[in-house]
Amino acid sequence: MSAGSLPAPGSALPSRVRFTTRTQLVRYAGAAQDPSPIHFDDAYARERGFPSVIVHGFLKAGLLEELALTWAPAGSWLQQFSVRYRGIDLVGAPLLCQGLVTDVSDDGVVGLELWIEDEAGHRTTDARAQLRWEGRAA
Amino acid sequence: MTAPTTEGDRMPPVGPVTVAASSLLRWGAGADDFSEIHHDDAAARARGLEGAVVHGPLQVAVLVEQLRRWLGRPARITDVEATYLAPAPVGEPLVFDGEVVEVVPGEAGDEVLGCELRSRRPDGRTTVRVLARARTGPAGPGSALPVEQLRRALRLGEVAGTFRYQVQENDLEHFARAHEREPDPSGRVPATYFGALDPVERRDLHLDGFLLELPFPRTGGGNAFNEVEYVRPLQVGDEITVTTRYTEVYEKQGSSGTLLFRVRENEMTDASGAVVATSRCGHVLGFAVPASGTSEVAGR
Repeated sequence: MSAGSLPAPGSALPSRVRFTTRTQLVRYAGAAQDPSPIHFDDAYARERGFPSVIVHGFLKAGLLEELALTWAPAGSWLQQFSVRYRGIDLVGAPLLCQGLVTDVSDDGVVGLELWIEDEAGHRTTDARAQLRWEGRAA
Repeated sequence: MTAPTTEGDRMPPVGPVTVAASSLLRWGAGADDFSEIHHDDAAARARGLEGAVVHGPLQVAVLVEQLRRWLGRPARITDVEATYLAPAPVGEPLVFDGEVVEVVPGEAGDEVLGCELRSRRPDGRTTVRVLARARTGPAGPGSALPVEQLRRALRLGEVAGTFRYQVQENDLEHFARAHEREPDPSGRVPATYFGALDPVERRDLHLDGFLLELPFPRTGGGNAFNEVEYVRPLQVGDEITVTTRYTEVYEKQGSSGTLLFRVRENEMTDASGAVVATSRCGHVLGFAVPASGTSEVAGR
């Protein structure tokens, strides 16, 4: 897609599979100053009933933002973003990040539906975004 | 000691006991009440008293605590009204007692107890009289979770806290690396960075820690949703003031037990005072709360 031309409603974003690592979760916890041990302490996670640490919701949201921003022309940005967490994802599990254009306004705002599916095909993370499209004809 | 159920049941009296000077001092410090009439006889006499007097609210606190212990769980005291009738001279013993004066049915199938409590001097004069009301059933319809206490703790609807954060280049580098990507060379900050500027996520604001001490097994918890709306993207170098307000506290029954939601809103302003972004975040904790047999909890 050439920069400047707005995408068509209904078109899909190129999907990506992401795998998280423990190091990554520790990095995120540090970068976001999130001290919750459920994301870096396996023993604690087991006490809470999970087989291992789980991925930060905000980090999953960040992967969906990245899906949109790597697809859109450079300089585009999300002016609205809302994320609902439907289920947990364990560290290391594949995260299938997908997206769909829902609507496009004349002034260059692109509505997106973004989501993460786990290996079993369950949507664990659902997001809606309003992307300010850069490079449209003035 | 058995819990009271009928009119005329008497609370076991305490005393005669002389309130120690150290207790008066601690009360004064705790209540920030350093009025001289509580520790200086001359000052008290100058105010028309015979000498220093025991704090009235201290006597109320003794009576209410005594009542709380007598009623036991799950009863809870809902109303307290105190009348100060006579001075209680420091150094003279006091007797604290009381009784149930009224029992009426509560709307949740429990009972509402009206209690009259007194502290009295050796000459029999009542110094403080307390009228208290207590419910014999657990709080809230169908739930034992301390929702009202939580609302107060979170200062629901009011500003819960204001925090200032700098958006620094190296913060953005760390943040980008956590996503396994390079930071935007233009200094533009990703939308989800508002999570790193959330005082609750960072535990800079931590008003509901007591929820983790509740006597119910936890069945889960975490962020339920995060929403953000930007006027402009955040930039490296921004100095952001975040004002947090809790807007909703509610319960839902879920497959994993009773779900307790707390929703907060953040307003982010830059150094010029302009609003840059607003966010709304919901966090949930699940508890296995034993069914109380009453009606289902209302949703949001």
